[in-house]
Amino acid sequence: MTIIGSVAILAIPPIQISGFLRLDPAHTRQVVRILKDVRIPNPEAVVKMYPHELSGGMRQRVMIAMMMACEPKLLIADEPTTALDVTIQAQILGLMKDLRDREGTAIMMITHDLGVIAETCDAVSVMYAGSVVETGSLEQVLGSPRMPYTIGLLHSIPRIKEEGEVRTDLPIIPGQVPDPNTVFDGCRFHPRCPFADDLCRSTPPPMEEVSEGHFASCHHTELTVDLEAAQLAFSAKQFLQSEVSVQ
Amino acid sequence: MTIQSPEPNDSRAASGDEPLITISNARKWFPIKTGMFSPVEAHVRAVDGVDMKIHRGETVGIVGESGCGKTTLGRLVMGLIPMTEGTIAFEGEDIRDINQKELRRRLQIVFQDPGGSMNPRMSVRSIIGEPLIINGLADGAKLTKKVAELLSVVGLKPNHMNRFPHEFSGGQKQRIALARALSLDPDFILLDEPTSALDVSVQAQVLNLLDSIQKERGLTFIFITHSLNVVNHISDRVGVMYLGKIVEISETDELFANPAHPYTHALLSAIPQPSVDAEKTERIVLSGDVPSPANPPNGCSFHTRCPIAVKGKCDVDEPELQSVNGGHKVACHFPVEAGGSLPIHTE
Repeated sequence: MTIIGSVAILAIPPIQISGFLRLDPAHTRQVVRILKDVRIPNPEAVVKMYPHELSGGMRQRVMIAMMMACEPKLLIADEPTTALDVTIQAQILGLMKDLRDREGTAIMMITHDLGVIAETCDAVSVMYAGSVVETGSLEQVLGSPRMPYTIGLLHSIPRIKEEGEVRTDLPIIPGQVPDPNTVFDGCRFHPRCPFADDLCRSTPPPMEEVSEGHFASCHHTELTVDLEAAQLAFSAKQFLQSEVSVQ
Repeated sequence: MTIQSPEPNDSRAASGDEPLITISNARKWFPIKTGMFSPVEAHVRAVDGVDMKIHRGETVGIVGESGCGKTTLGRLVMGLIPMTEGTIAFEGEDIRDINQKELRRRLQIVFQDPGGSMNPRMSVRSIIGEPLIINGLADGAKLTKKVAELLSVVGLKPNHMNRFPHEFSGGQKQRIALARALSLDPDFILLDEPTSALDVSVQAQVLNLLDSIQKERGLTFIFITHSLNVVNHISDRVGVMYLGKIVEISETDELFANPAHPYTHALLSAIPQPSVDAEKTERIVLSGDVPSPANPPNGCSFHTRCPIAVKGKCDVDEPELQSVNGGHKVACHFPVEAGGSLPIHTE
């Protein structure tokens, strides 16, 4: 299907879809306008192209155009920039933020790239093995994480070194994400957690409000108030050498 | 476009600083045809004139966006696809003249998708052991012992060898792929986006493992990735590719502190950092898309998106890779000075 077909099928009222192959000029103009909104260069030519003729960034912009054509209340973006390089990623994220501010669309950004989250989001929920383990505002979750998984995850991202800084081992979370079939009695993160005790192994932790609007699912949130100490707990020798390393 | 003659091999005598791999003016053009018998209409210039030296024991990172030719360059180095032009020498000898079995033993590769690079019907013992059998290095009990050793090197347990690939997680599969690459005790391993398919916490484990194995065995790595954070962490030197060419190459610290090419500047400023307190520096957003490698622009291939391109120069003359500061080389007519910045380009 050409771009005009793809976009038009969402952009025009459903009753007229059956005739979209014989689109009248008004519809073409409407599609061109939508493509212009997402800053596609030369939209008059692009409407007649097929997806394989476009680059990855252009295709992603057409996808956004298709979604925005319906003027949705909520846009769910599932790893929207994973396949793109950082310069194109910056363009696409800028575009999504523009559309959000202009149309008031809510965006749910699903991604594993915490940089993208820091760039675009207001609130964050961290998921682990099927459940949300921490949720709060961007500043709360990325700035003062309280669930040990979030702490380990943020700590294990390679950062750009200062000039002259020596390369050291990256901090890690030992072990692997559990198989989705595993049945847990207690906290799902306990096999990889440095703070795990008998309570964690037997009882699933409740969502605890650690500060206003900031929830963490952990029995031991009192141990994670001090972020640096909690990060150190992950790299402690006796913890890394315990049974978790490789199942 | 200028064609440089391959550099003379006189440095071969001095074995101390002889590069392990020397790439001279490597080109790979893929023909575009519309039908099986139709004439070639154009070429996709996937790799278009790359010169590079890789020394023993170092990790060279190659960054660039999808489609810029990183993987094709890697395949050329491995001798997996024939070159259109240029030479690649391994220890001073053209890889096309080296016995293929010998070459395969000394150069190994780890692919991006660990699951896709393994036969699902083979046990881990067969996967890791196959290279050893093919080269007649081990069989029977000796093979089992060798595979067990390799598994423990990559942090897995010997009893994993009777399992099949689907029983492992992505990170564990990548460890198996690495064990397979190590089985023949190679000099060089090409790592083609080895952590892109992995979770961040597992990525850190694999990066640490690579680092420690390199130190133990004195291996040489080319690390292909599009993640600048990863390349900053793992590499000694970094080459930035754009449209089939190396546009800048330097020691990692120098490149990140004093990028000279406008494209590198834009790349570095566009990395989203996962922290809330980092002051939001004004980023250089490049307008437009990467031109098609089938029809690259005249002159500098970056001039269509470059905020400091000069008409009449950048769109006519192709810049050559030249040194700005020792080993720091850049292909730009107007390299950004150390500590300098680019004018913010707005669309």
